[in-house]
Amino acid sequence: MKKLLAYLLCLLLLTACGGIKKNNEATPTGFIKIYNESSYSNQYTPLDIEQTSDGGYLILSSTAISTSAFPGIYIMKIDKDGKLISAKVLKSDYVSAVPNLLKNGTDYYIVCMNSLNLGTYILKMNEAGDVSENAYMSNVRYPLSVEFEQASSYIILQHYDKDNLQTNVSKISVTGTIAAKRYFSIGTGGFDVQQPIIDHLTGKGQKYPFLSGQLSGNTYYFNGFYNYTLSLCMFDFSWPAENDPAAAQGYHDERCISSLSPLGGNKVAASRYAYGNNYIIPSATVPTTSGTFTDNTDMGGFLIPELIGDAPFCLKEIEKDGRNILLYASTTKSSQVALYAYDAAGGQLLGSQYLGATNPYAMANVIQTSDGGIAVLATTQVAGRFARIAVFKLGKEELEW
Amino acid sequence: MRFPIAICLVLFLYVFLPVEIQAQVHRKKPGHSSGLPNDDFTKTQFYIGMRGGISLTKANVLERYSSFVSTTDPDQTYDKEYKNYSKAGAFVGLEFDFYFKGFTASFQPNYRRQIYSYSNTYEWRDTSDASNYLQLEYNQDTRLDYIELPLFIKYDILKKGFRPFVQVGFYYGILNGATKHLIVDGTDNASGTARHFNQQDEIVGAKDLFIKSSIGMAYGIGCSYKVGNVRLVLDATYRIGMNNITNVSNRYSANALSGAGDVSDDLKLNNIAFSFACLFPMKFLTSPQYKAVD
Repeated sequence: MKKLLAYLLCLLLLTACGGIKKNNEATPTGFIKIYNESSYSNQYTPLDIEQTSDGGYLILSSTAISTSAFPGIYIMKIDKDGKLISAKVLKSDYVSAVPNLLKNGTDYYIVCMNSLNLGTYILKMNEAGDVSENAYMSNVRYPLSVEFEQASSYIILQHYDKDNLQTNVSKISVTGTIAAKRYFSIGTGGFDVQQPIIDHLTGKGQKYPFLSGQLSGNTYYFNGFYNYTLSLCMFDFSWPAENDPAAAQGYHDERCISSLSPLGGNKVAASRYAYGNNYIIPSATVPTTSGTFTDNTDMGGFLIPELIGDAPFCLKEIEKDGRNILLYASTTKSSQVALYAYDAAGGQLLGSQYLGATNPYAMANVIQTSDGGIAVLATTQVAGRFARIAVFKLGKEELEW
Repeated sequence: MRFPIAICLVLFLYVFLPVEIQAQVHRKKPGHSSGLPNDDFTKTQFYIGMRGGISLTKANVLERYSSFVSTTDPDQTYDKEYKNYSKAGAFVGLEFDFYFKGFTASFQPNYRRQIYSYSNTYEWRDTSDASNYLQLEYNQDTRLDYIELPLFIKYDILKKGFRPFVQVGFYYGILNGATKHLIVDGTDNASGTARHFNQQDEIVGAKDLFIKSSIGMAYGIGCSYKVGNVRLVLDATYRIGMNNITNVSNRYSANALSGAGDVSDDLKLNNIAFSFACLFPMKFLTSPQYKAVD
């Protein structure tokens, strides 16, 4: 019996050695970093993150500046472990960056507004975070959303025309040459969009889910104000000017699409909010024929009650173990970042995950990283009062789906 | 790391297994069957008893980590300030001793709590008026509960009723539970008047932040005193942790407090324990006094 005990103890020791060795050799690929500074007054709102070829990250954020009511632009470069490489506020001419850092190979583009005449800049940034001015379009004002057209590297830009009360969508080269343009009348019926758009750009009011991009082939979309509602509109740049777009309409700014990912043809994955409620729509079809109007409530979706009212969504199609996954990120009522993974083919929920505790967190963006994991960009209120940038890097093995 | 582990293993096999063999040998030779003990019988003794005490812990930091990164001051590393040997943890267990010619092999399985503490201080100041500031001090206790299996060799310096001794050995601890206890103290001087406040304490489970195993060497001094047939022991032992107890893979992912900037450093635990034991002899001489072999 005693000998058995001795051998048992030996076995325990060997097990211990194995566990300790495994721990010593572990190379975790995840981290959480909160980018803090001792200033009482500076506040930062992260907008987008992109991974660079060295494994590090470029982070686009906005921050209040003293010379303008519109927020300035704050750029951070961090390494693959989240260590800060550089951080800077761009000159005060550049304000209200569109919350989409465009990536084209090793070049990155920021679309933003001039603080005085509200024209549109296209800024070019290298992997080190150095920024140069690539184009300025004084007649393209109030930039609201951008996306790259992957095949042509044109930028699909949505901007607001205050004088004609129109939403404009332009196809623009990175040097500012407008290749195509369409106008969509907002109208004046019962809902004034002017102040909400200004509040959106200053960051003082509701942030609207303005979107634009290519749906498939020659069909493009924008999620913006059309016919005095925040609607998802589909169109072709080559349509005659008098043709109406196809639209999945909402109601004013209270019922609208909040994120979208084209799945091919007229199929999309999306999310929407309606009067405070949020819905995830892993699969839906949208009208693409000119003048076809549907109601965005027809797209249905799964009600997600845990999210804040009219929640911002980030929707990305990622890949894990050969499977295409629709990754939704948003913010919960308990101030955490919520991640929901849906199978892109079948539309069923594969798993969910919550990030952030103790301090409040709000989702800003999410990307898939080169190691198969994800990086989640968020705002956290350090000490409950200082808005700071936070990055959650999750390794592939940490994804709960 | 492999070398000390191997030493432990060899030491264990060298010491523990022969003791078992010795015990078997003695059992086969009932020295006092005739009523008169032979020499071998009086040279050895088994003791079984109880042991308990308190311990103070020092965190021996191997590498520091923080989830906070300063964007303005590269020298600001947000390192934790450890308060070594500041919080007492208790332990209680059994003791099995085999005594032979002044040497004792002592197996002391016990359940112990080890506590180490640290704090982080953060400050935010108004750049336009430096007298406006907020200061927060995060004080944190980490409580680790181990089932510990230590084996010691003791040498009695004197062989009388009062026996001072020295001891050396090693231990293997199995983590049974871990919690983190966070207390946040703050001074808010943002509105012209300093206001001190405490945030609500937070206790979170932290077992996944540490690996199951803790091994180490130990040495100490003590004394025992015979009271009747019972031997009372007082000793002090210093334990030197030999492995990083932090679970490297879960440093960020399993820490409920990482959102507040807390991330575990890589560390080994050193520990000083003061204990009291009460040992009962198992072998007695047949005599009118029913006297223990000693």
